[in-house]
Amino acid sequence: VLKSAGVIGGLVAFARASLGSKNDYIGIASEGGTNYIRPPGAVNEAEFLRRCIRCHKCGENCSAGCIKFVGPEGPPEARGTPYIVPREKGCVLCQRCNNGCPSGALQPIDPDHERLWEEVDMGVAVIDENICNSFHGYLCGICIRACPLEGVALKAGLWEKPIVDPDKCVGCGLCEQVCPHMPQALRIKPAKRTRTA
Amino acid sequence: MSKPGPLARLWKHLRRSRKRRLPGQMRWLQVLRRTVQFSVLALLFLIPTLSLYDNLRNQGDDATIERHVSTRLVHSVVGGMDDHRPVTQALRGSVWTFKAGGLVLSDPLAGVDFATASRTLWDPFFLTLLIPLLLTLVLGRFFCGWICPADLLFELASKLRSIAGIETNIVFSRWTKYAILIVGTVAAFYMGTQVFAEIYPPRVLSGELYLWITFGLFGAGTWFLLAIVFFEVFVSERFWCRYVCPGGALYSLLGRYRLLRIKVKTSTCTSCEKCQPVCEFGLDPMRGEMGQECNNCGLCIRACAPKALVYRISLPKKGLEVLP
Repeated sequence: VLKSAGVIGGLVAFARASLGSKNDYIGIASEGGTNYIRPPGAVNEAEFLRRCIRCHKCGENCSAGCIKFVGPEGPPEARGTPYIVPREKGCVLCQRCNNGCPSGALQPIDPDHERLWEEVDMGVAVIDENICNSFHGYLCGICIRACPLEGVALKAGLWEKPIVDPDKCVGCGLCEQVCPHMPQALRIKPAKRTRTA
Repeated sequence: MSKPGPLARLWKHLRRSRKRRLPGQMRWLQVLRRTVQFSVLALLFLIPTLSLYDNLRNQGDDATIERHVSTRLVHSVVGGMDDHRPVTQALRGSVWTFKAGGLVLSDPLAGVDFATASRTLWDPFFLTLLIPLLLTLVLGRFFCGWICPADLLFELASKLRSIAGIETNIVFSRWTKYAILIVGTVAAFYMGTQVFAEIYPPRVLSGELYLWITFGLFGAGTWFLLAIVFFEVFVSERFWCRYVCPGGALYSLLGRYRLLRIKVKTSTCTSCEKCQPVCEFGLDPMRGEMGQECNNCGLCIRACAPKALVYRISLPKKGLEVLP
């Protein structure tokens, strides 16, 4: 009895471990978040994976050239889907990717929308005050000048200290791209997207 | 006398194909077919180049435009225009989903994948499938022989086979591809992600071309395609299209009751069997046993000296492919 209980327990532990390691990605996705920063207008991660037909049209339409595609290094269910690495190139919010998406994985957004932060939720900028120049006596403020929503999402505090408004920040990543500190003092945290098709 | 080596065979093949040009029925059809196939391949090169040029212009990155031959070529054509965008933004996509102006066309296999993975029965995306679906219902599996860019690659592989004189040919069951279609559909339904896009050669090929032109790199798809070509040359003739391709399975099912068919006139047929080896899908036109898998490419018609094989438009009924 003890032996069989041990075998069953081992099997259960193995199953749980193997499922758990797989669910690291899917589990977060089901909460509406993701490890990837998706292009603007993306529906929630679980539905995004269901809808994206991997046609590369968003990448062809991306006027900033910032959209990359998950290769064989990524999880199998996400292969061929678009993502953005803001440190390499940020999104300029032209909204051409989502207006050209045929399958509704990216929902169309009006590029001239007055309150863009209500429509776009790619992520939120998080500042590392331990390394940010402006927190150490250097007047920098480069990220603030790069922000397309300057004064709304990223405000200048005393001595050019950047202040992020998490509700207004769309996560385009232009601030992370231009940050002169190496490594960057500003990082985009991927959003828990809740949009549905 | 010893068997001639591969080089001698290649020379013989080239000489023979130069002589062979003259006979053959409806040769213009094959010329048209190759023209369409190569136009599609050219589009797969052109569209990423145009989009790359458009985006580089948008970023004001003239240095990169200068660096690449392709974008420089585009620039020499559209650079003088007041507004280059109507030209460079007119075409997008690939054979998986294609956009020309306001018209969007998508592959029916993408529709199957989309419907099962997203578990939706109505979506605007399905409208883009209408024209390809109608064409497939009328013309059968025409996509495989006329549009698919991977078909060109695999026809090249079967040509290499005949030049190298490789006899090994493992025959699998034709029903394998239908099983793969069903398994993939069920997997997409339960996994909640699309599965065919990563194994469907025309999508893989166009995706690789896009990655190469835009980022200057190749993905895993290139190895996948090379592995198929290698397998087809040395192990099994037209392995992917005959036995594996889920897209081919889907179009075969859709084209089961197609209107345009190749039929054999039994009174004219001399049973020379010359139509059998030329059929890329290994079908038997002479006995009228084409079933659902014929792609109406017309190679058998070209090979038929007594003109016994003909195209006919007719409603599906019994004794489908045999005429008196």
